[in-house]
Parts: sequence; C-alpha cells; structure tokens
Amino acid sequence: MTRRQFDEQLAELKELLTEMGRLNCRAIADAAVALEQQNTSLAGEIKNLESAVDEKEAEIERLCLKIILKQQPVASDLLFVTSAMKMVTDMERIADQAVDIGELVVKMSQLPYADIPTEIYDMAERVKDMVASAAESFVERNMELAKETCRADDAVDDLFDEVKKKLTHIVYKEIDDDENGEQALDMLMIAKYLEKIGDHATNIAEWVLFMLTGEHKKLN
Amino acid sequence: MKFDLFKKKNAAAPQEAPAAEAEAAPADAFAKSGIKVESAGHAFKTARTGTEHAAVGADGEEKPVKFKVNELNLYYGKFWALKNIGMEIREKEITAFIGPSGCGKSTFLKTLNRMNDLIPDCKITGEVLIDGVDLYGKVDINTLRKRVGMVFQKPNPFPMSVYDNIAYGPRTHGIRKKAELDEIVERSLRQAAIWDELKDRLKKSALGLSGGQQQRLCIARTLAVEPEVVLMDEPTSALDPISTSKIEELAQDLKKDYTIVIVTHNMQQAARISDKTAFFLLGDLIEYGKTDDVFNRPADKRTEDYITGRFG
Repeated sequence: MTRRQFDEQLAELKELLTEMGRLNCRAIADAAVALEQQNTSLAGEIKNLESAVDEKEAEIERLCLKIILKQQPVASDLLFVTSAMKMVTDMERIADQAVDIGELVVKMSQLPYADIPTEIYDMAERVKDMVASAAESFVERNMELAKETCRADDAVDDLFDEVKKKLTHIVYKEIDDDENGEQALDMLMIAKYLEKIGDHATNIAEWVLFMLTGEHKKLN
Repeated sequence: MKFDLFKKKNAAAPQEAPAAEAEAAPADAFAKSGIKVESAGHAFKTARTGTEHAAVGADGEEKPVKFKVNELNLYYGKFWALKNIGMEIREKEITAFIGPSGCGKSTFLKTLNRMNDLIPDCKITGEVLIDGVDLYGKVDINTLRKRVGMVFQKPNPFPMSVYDNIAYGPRTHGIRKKAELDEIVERSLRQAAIWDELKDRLKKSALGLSGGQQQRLCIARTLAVEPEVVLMDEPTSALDPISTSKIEELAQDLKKDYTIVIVTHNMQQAARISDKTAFFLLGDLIEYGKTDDVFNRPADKRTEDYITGRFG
C-alpha cells in the first residue's frame, strides 16, 4: 500500500512553503537595505514581493484544504499540513510589514536621516536572519535551528527598547522641530514593525517545532 | 428492577489475583473444549512483557482497569497468532484495535470472552484478568459471556421476532415474567437507539429490518443481559454511512455504562470514537496509548506507516 498522489501533494506543499519563505526573506532583506541606504526604488519594489507572497498563501491554503478533504492526513502528515496552514499567516504578515517599512522609507526620503539610533539597523539585520533561519529550519526539519530562532527574539526585543528610548529622547529634544520629531516617530514605527517581524519569525519556528514534535509551545 | 441473577460474581475480587489462583486448573467447560491452557507466563518471557504497554497513560485521571492481560500467547496449531500481549483495558472507555488483516486483533478480541475456545488446535498461554480474575481460570463460561457480550461484523439476528431476539438472552438466564421481559426489551432497544423505529413492529421478523437496524438490534440483544463489556468486531463494515454514524454515536453513549472494545479497519472511525487505540502487527502489540497521541504522534514508525497508509 503506497500513497503516491498523497506524497506528491505533500511534496508540492513543501515546495510552495519553501518558495514563500524565500520570497519573505527577500522582502525583509530589501526592506533592511532600503532603510539603511534610503533606497526608495528598492523600497517600492517590496510591494511586488508582497503580492507574490499573498498568491502563495492562497495557493497553500487551497492545497491544504484539498489534502485534508481528499487524504484525511493523520500523524506526521497531519502535523505538517496543520503547521503549514498556521505558518502562512505569519509569513503573510511579515511581507505586509516589510511593505509598511518600505512605504515609510519612501515617505522619509525627502530628508536625510538626522540623529537616528543605529541599533535600528542592527534590529533589521537580526530579524532578517530570524526570518531566514525560521524558513531554513522548516526546509531542513531542523529542531535546533528552530529553537535558536525563537531565542534570537530576545535580543530584538531589547534592541527595540533601546531604540524607543533614544527616539523618545529625540522627540523631547526636538520638540519645536516638526520635521525631526516626525522622522523620529516614523522611525519608531519602523522599529515596531521590525519587532513584530521578529515575533512572526518566532511563531513560524514554533510551528516548525510543532510539526516535528506534535507539541505547540509558546517559546517567546 | 430485580435482576439478581445477573449480578457480577466477581465484583468483590481483588485487582490482582494471587499467582496461585491465576494458575489454577481450567474450568470444566474449558477443559471439555479440548484447548490446552498452560500456567501463566513462564514459557515466553521475551523482550516484551505485559508491563510495557500496561504503563501507558497511567496518570491520575485513568479509569479503573477492566481487563489486564499478561504475556498472552495464542497458537492456532503451529501458527503463533498472538505474541506476548500485555495490556490494560480501562472500564467505561472505548478501546479500538487496529492493524492489517491477519495481525491478530480479532483473535485478541475473542480471547476477552473466550470465543477462541471453539476453535480446534487453539492453544493459549498467559492470563487475561477481568476485574482481577483470570477468565481462563475458574470461571463459568456462560456467566463470562453474559458479562462480556459481543457484536459481530455481519448483523446476525435470530430468525424470530424483534421482541424474541431481545428476550432470548434473559429467557435463557431464567426470566419468564412478561412484564419483566417487556421492560428489558424496551430498555435494551432504547439503549441501542432503535426503540422509536421498532416499537410498532416488535412482533415482526427481525430479518425484515435493514442492515443498520439489524446491527443495532444485535447490540440491543447484547445489552439485554446487562453485560459489563461489549466487544465489537468490525460492527459497521457492512453498513452504509448513516447507519455507521448511528452505531458510532451509540457506542459513544454506551460507554457511560459499558466498557467497549472495538476492532475496526476504518482508521478514521478509531480516531473518531475511541479513547485508546492499540495497533497490532503480525501478532505483536506494537503500540497502545491514548487515541489522540497515537493518531497525532505515534511513537513507533510502524504505527505511523500504517495509519498514514504507507504500510507495506
């Protein structure tokens, strides 16, 4: 007794998730570069990646429903399909937030950055790595890498607190300077988006652990 | 209702029978059947002992043990059909046995009320305790079969009226009063969720019923003698989906009062209705645990391969 059609569908699902993860990594990587270099054309292109991510999400959801309906998966197959359905939501959010960052980069492009806390670039770099390692832990079925991804979120949260503190200070200091004050607030939103992307990467890694162990735990 | 005749004989028996008792000579009825019974559990102390699977899910919420099986081996002639089976079946739960054809699940089910006694060349070693008493020891086979009823794959109503089908068991056990039998018939048919369909055709032949009705009638017939355990051997494999759902819902209702053990080839059925699932393969008990665990994250690769359909 073999299940060739079923195995093919599962392989297709894995392929789609891998591709979606790849698009996600590109979206956040582009956002990080656009932010640091004030590169508006790159920032604008993130939208295209996000559209592709949305398409993949819909395709994956359709395939999962088809598998559940036609194959009635159990055991590791069920864990895989369930985690796929959960993971795509977080992946889609990551792409959305990369677009949000891109839009702010475009908005802020009229002026050079004033007194910007450099920790924000560190944050961008770290969440980019988290998204990449979450995707890799899925493809490689690597439990240790998934756990590492979850642990990495602490540093991102700490950096966010640091950035927020410094931006608050700027807003106070530049209370009469509308432009610098607004830039600081926009930067705070970017920092918050980055922090949220870190949370979504953690969620993805948690679903990878669920897929591998059958247990879903909140690790962060 | 007065139903003293059917009171459990072994209700007060301790959970663990003393070894001497467990090794007592077989009952007369059993001796006559020509099956050799050896003393418990010395011959085949191999890798798997009874304790391995008995420990499954032994947390505080567990219900009392109904059956405890220790190092059970069964041979049909030279064929080793059950190999060192050890497990505990809990009271008022649904326990499902799954596995490919010929894996021993039905054979094992039948050891729980000694249906294998009727098969020539069948040899059994080890022990099967019900409420702590070895049912291959000093037990009256008729009492045992009353306590442990069975429903088969193919509905098998007797060629008589609906009423007489249900009253057959109680009459065998000496109940003659019509009022009492009426009460038993109604209660049993209600319990089997078929009273409304049959109350106006009690005097009609049971053979005229649909397959699904016949099977529920057979369940009612089993319940009429107030058993403690109902064994079901693929009870829905000959039924349409609607009748199957009715039997499944019925099983869920019945577990409030009865211990149910079901053999099924329908994996989704086992996942839907059972509390515990046991997976058999080539006479071995491979895995036994909570159904949710077995179907979500089986511990053994062979279980995984079987339930995901990649076996063989």
